[in-house]
Amino acid sequence: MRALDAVSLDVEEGSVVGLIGPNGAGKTTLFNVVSGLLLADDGSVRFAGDEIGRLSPHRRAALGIGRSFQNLGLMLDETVAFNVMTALHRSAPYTGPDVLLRPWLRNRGDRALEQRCAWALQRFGLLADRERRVRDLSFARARFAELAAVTAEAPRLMLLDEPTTGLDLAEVSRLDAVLGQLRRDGTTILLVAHDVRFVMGVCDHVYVLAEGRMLAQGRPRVVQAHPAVVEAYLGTPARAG
Amino acid sequence: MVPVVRAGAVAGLGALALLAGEATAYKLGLIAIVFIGAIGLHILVNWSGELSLAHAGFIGLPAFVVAQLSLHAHLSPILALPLGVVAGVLLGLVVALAALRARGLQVALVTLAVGIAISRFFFVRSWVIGPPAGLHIAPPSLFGLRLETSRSLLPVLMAVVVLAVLASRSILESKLGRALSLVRSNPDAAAAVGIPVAFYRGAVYAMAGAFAGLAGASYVLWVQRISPKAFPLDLGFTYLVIAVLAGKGALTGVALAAVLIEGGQVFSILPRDFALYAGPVALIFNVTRYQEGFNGLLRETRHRLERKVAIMAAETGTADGERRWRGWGARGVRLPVVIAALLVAAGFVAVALAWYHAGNTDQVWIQNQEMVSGGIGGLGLIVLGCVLLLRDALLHGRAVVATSHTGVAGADGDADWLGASGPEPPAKEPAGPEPEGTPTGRGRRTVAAGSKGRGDTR
Repeated sequence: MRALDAVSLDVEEGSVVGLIGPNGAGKTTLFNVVSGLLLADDGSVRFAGDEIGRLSPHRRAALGIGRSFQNLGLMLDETVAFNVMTALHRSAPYTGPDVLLRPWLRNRGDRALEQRCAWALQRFGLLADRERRVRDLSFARARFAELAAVTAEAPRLMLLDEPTTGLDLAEVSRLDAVLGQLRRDGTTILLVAHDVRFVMGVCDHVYVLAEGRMLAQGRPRVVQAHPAVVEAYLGTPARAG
Repeated sequence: MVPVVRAGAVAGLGALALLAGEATAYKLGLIAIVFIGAIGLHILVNWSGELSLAHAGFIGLPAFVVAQLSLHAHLSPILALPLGVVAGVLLGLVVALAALRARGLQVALVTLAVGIAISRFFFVRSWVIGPPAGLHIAPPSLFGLRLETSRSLLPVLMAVVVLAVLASRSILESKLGRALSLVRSNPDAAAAVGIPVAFYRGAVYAMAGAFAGLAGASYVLWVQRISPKAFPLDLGFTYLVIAVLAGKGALTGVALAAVLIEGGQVFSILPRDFALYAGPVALIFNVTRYQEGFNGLLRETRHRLERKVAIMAAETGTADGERRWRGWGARGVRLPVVIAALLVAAGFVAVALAWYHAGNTDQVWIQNQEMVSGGIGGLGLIVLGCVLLLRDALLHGRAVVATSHTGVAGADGDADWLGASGPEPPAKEPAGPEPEGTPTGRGRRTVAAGSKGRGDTR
């Protein structure tokens, strides 16, 4: 069985692109192929003009691809700050041997990281929660903690897997604002979400995936009106509203 | 506050150790060596989620390498310590090669096989273990200074321990430690933030090997005669018990577990074979009931203390008790409580000293004196302190409840999303008294002011 078949997707630099589709359509599989957790049987993944389809995930991260996970890529028993600091792994201005040979570099480097961590938490209003364990946060706050961890690293391309799940209206609008700010900073965003209204509002371009195939694509307005989409995913306009 | 207490405790222990007699110093050294070896397994098991049952071999083989070198090359074992580390790292890398191809239970089997291979292949060869009676090396010397007694060697061993502690803390509190714990809890997320997962999994075996090698070399330095009997296969399980009892976190838990298991054995405070029977029982309890180990216990105690002080501070009218606690501002802490705590601590110290002195003398009249002054006096101090604490709790406990709820209980948030308490959506229930008999799961605690429980809800 093929989870994805002949799917082609373009994400223009600096844009926000949405990917929607019913459960089991292959959205997360597509994310895993792009971030390198899964290797595609064939086809190619190109990033900034280079073929990266055979690179290991941590090398892709080093190129500037960051991602969030549908069920939180965080350590639940650790504090928010510890999680964000961990996500800043690549940005640490010291190497592994430095830890033993030149510990003062580690001290200085980690202090710089703490500032970046604070800045990222500030963006999501999480500064007060920095010393709390993720397990003790509400789901929405834990989700924001993950987004803070992803954005702290300032990736060129950000893959967000279901960032709106479990968020209430105010929180979604906060997310909306942060994404807008990131876009102004030049970050490219590819996101998957169930919240169709959110996707249509925030994205420049939308792809619709169903059963491993690309059903439609285009500007949000065009996609929303596409008959195949309406039939397969959105249902009647009234239900979609 | 906590660093001060910790530094004080360490300095006090060090000073006591330097005052100890020859036999006691020797036993303390054995505990310290077990502690060094356990640090390696602590990083491997508690921080990285890997497993090694070959730790006895990890310690034993480098020990023989160092012993042979100091015998044949006439190298002081003190200067050969780094060679032990190198041997340990190499051994760790060999195990890593095998363990990286496996997962979970298979890793346990692979490392067990390596452990058996080391003891069955190397620990029977005479070019490794020397004559059947074991290898004897000359007392170590340093810069022409011959260190013949355990007491004279103790500072050297202490320096090694300090070095090991500093190195492991440096590792655990840097990006390496953070990466290891993310690799442990979520390898996919680790890869996605740019951590080379396989590299780190391999490196952690090398690190464990380094600490084990250091422990092995220190053993040669300390005991000066070694035979394979010192490294039986089940020594690896003892180390595993120590690591699991310690739990994830700092080295304090490892030190406690090492003192309990190894100290109980060498000082015969605990009955013989206590570790043999109690170790596995503690392990089962630890794995099934309370996975946090000593470190979790310490963390919880600390949180409770901080919370308590915050409550006391709220009661005396200072807004930010947390800050005062860190700065040890005396206004937030009531004097009677401090005195009571000091009394209890002094009582325990008196009992411990009496115990120690009585055990080190065969004069009955001295033992009697110790029993009266230390034993009864110490118990009296403890009882007095406890009574003061109880009185304080009774007098101030009720008054605190009302003020504490707003500030402290609210800090728990609505952590319902982990699915701990049934199908309800993230806590939206109105605040109010909960009917008796409702199952109170995690986060479903709506505090009714003054009805039951104090702010301290952990």
